[in-house]
Amino acid sequence: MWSRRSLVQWIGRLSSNRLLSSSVYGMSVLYFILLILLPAILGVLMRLGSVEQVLGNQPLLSRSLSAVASSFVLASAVSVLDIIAGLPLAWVIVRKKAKWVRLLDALVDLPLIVPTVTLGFSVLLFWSSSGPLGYLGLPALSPGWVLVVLLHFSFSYPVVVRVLVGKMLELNLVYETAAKTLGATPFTAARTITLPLLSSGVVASLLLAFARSLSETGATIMVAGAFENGPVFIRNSLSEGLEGPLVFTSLVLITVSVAIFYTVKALKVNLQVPFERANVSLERKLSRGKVTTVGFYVAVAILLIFVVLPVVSLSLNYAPAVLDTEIAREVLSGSGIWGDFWSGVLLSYAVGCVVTILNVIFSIPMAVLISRRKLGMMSSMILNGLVSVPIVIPSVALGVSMMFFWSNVSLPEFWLIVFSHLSITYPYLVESLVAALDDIPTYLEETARTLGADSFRSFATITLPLARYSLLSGAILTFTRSVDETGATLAVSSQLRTVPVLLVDWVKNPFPGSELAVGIGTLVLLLTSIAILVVLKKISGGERNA
Amino acid sequence: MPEIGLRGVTKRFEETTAIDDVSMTVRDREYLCVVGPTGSGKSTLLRLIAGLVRADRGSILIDGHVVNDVPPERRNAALMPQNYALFPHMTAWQNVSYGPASRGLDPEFIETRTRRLFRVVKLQNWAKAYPDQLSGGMQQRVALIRCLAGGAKILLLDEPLGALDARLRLDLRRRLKGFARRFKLTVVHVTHDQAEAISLGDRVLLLRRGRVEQEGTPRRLYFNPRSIFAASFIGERVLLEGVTRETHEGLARIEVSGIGSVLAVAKGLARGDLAVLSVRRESLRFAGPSDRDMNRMKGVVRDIRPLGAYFRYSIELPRGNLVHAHVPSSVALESSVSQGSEVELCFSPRETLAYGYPMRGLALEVEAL
Amino acid sequence: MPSVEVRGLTKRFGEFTAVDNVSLAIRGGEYISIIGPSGCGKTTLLRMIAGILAQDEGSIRFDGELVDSKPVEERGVGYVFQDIALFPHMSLWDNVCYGPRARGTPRERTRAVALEMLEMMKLTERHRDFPSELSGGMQQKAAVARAIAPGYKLMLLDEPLSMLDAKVRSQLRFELRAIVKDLGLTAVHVTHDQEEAMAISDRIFVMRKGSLVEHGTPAELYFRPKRLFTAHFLGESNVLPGKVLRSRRSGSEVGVGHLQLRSSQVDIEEGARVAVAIRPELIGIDHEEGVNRMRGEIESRSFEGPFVRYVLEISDDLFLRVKEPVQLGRSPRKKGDHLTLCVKPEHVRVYEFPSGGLNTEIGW
Repeated sequence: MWSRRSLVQWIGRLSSNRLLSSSVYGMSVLYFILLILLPAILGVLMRLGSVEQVLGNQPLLSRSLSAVASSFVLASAVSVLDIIAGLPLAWVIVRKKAKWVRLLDALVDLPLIVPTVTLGFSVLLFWSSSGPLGYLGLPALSPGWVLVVLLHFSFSYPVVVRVLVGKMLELNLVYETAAKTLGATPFTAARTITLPLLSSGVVASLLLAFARSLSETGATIMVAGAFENGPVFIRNSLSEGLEGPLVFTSLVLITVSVAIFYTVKALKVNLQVPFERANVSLERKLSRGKVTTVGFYVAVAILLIFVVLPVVSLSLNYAPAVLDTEIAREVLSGSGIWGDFWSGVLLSYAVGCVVTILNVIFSIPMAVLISRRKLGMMSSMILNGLVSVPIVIPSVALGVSMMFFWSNVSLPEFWLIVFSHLSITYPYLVESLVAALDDIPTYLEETARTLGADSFRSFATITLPLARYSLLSGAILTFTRSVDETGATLAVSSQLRTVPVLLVDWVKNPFPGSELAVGIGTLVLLLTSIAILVVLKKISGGERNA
Repeated sequence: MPEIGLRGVTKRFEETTAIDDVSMTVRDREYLCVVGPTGSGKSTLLRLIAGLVRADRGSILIDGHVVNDVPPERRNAALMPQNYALFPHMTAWQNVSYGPASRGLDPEFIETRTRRLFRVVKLQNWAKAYPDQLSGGMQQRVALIRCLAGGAKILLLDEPLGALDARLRLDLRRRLKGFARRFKLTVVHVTHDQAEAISLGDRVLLLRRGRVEQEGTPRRLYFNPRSIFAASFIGERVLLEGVTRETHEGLARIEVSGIGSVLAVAKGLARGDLAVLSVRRESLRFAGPSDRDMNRMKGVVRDIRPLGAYFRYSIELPRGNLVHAHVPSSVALESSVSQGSEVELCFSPRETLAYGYPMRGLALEVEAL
Repeated sequence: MPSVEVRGLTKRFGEFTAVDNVSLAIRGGEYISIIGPSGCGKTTLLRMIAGILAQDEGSIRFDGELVDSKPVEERGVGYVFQDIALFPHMSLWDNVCYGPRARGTPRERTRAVALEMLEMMKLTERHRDFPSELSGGMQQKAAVARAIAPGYKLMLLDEPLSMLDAKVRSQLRFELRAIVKDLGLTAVHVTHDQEEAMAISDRIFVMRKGSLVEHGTPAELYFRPKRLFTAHFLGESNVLPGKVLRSRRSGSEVGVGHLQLRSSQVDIEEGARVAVAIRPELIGIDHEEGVNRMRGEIESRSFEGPFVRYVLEISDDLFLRVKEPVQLGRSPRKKGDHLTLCVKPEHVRVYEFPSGGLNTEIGW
């Protein structure tokens, strides 16, 4: 009789077999290399020939290069804005002990729940003439680079704040306290001690914001208008049917991104200004409550205006429509455009599930390999670096590469979409798993081993339960990221349309009633995604151990 | 038959050699204390025995069998790390029954044995508690019975008393030994505290930079340290430098400036050699009329401090250097010697050990700060 | 050399009172230790004096001046942390210079002070190293240097040596005292190691469960402890239940088991139930003359370096631990040997029997 106990023991006995456990690790590495890493890079390289199309064509070349340049300038500008506005907010959330800070914390999380297409549409609306600007009689912002900057700011800002908050919470307060006992005013202590110690966190969040901005496609297309950054240009080239620009732009994007990321990471940036002598009177003034309060209010205002209000106003705008029984019936019936909508939703969720399950299974051994340094320090670092590659590559370029790679094999579009989503979400999952495993001290599993548990059992009964929360939230993140993903999906699929692709389509190719449809569609998407998250959080919260 | 044996074991990590050609044995039911400064390789030694790291060279034997390739779960040597490593997501009961459950033992047997073990350490009422609800001392007791529950006969303790208050440490020292005796365990107990090692171990192994500096009974290490490092690490000693004037049958006469001629137990010293003398602080006594054939030194008392069971007298010698003598409180309380008094200390040649002056200089050799 | 005065200091964390109405006075230039079991509130007390933690009740004065309203950076107190807390992103030099720089000290002066500090700690050659490159003992010395550099006259040390090896600890403690005395500082040193406290302090304060139990010089607390807890926590004591048989102006007689012990303690009530504490090393073995004689059989013995410890069975339910200095050349005493013990009346300490029983009083 197969009891759970005997199954675990059977697997356990197998795991003591070094050959078997090596092959499990081997398979996960192969999965990574064959399905995730190589297609992402090789695809474009395979079609290197078509680059000539662009190199020979001067206007096409300059259009392509300026698109790429715009991407990087945009990403840099947005990241810098994020940090300037994000640090004060993160500081408040971590240090201030008032009740409304909790609310603030939740508000920061809001955009992370909102699908980017929804965010894109709400930004489009909020700053248009039908929004507050029009209300106040001020000139509206029409689709263009300004709107793109606002959009990118609004979805990367919360991410930056999240990362900063996390890093600040990890920071041991004792250093700041020590500085104060030595006579440093709070401001001096913050700038000479806390900030430098946060360097790695600041850099990490900057890179994250940078990568997000480079990758973002769907919502960008909605608000870009005539402006072209990399993803927009690629999408336009796709619809124009030109292969050369696709390959060329993707290649340049990939190369420059990789170069920037790995250089920055290697530099080990240290945010430290040489400290010779403090200007005590000035710094004391800056430490005073009033200054921090002002800074705080500004940060909150930024959060509200740029991030929260657009989404809220979208909801308010279209909520009546959704609540209208007539319209609701039409939407739910799936007739006409709504049929496409719901099949899009079904497709998105199906892809999401497959992607999540596959990635979870194969990322666990990889995370163990990296975190427990099973192959040695150097190999772990290399692996870790390689795993981050898909993050660095803008998702649309990644999609293009995937498309070319798999074009020799006649793969059904569904699987093309799945593979590209696998590639994009894999690094985040592995990263969060590695972070979770790093936090679980090895001596726990080691002690279990000496008590008689083989390596599989000790992993399954000790480490995995302790990492359960991270695993679950990593899985949730993977799922939502996949559902959200637009850029790569656009590149690889011509017939199937996931929900974000569909909505972007409706915006770029309007038809009578399309605005209302998009409004309702994005709102429905928001509601379903909130519902799923709530359900998943309930499940994970119930399982969380003391 | 030796329960645990190491033969020529070496273990390297990146550039450092943590364990360098170590051979040692632990007999059945012996309580061995491994002592040495941080970084001497003590923890690595424990992990080699447990099977958590593989030796680069040499063999590890348990019960006479070479176990280099045997995974930890089959070695039956339970390891208790410094912070006890109780599984935070399991109750005390689940922690303790983890070992036997992993070994596939009969559930009823596990139940009876676990219950009995909880009774032994008087924690029956805490079996359902989670580790973070238990005090430090309780956690230690749970960790100990957890090691035993699976039937392990070898207990590997990594600084088991390190996390505790000084006072608690003293009390629990004896309990540990009693625990080991009661359950007939073979114990390897690692610590950086030589007083702990000396008072607990049946035998003591002094480790330094991955090598065995000396091993033997506590008395042997305490009274006959073989090297200057051992002499300065075990117990509290006065170290003096001097020049060898003459040697005769295992004894040497050493000239120490500010003191004069000192007779010491010496090996391998020749006339003219620079030497280092070591005398235990408690061997320095106030010279009395009945003291004969003793080494002597004169000085002025600069400071007298009660340290508990003994007083520390800081005495300034003619050349300006300071020596500390430890005098039992019962003697010190009766003594008329006070600060500023001139005193003459005497110490037996048998208790004066001489070593050749180390090439690297004395400070480096004793790894002083 | 500032004096420190604490009055009625209290700190609560929810239901739990960490520090309960503690008052103490420290004279300028004194080296004070605060000892107690973990969780007794000594670190919380120290943090309140430093200003890192705000008190719920009570006042703190330095040199008679109230400092309650001053934030940490203005109290002028050097603090050495248990986990050392050297700034990991700065070299040793920058760490030591930090205090003077943060206070706006001119560059030249900062340099001079830092050099002096490093000289004093014998760390000058390592000034370019980062904390992670230094050994534990060096790190702690560096932390002390850093704390003194700003020129504060009051030093608070929170278990500064607890992270170090035993050997390093015993070397560093005397260095700490020497530095404090040489510079004329007032020091308050928190530790759970009573041996350490005895070695370095002018006076010791004993804390337990948030309250001050007793204070005095090491000798006073060790040989004439006024409270049972002190007798047990500081060093080791045999603690035995007994009853006062006779009480006179010249001394008293206490019945412990079948023994009748003479104690030099006066003003204890006849007939009262008491707890008697006798230190193992103050019990004499096989002395020709001696008061309070008793006979016992060696039940166990253990070697402890400079001492040998015996457990002697005096009667079925009466055991005494005795410590004797090792004497080489004399044949060792064996298990089963019968010995005659004696103890001086002044070393028989008598205390009121704790209402909660012996275990609650001297257990924790």
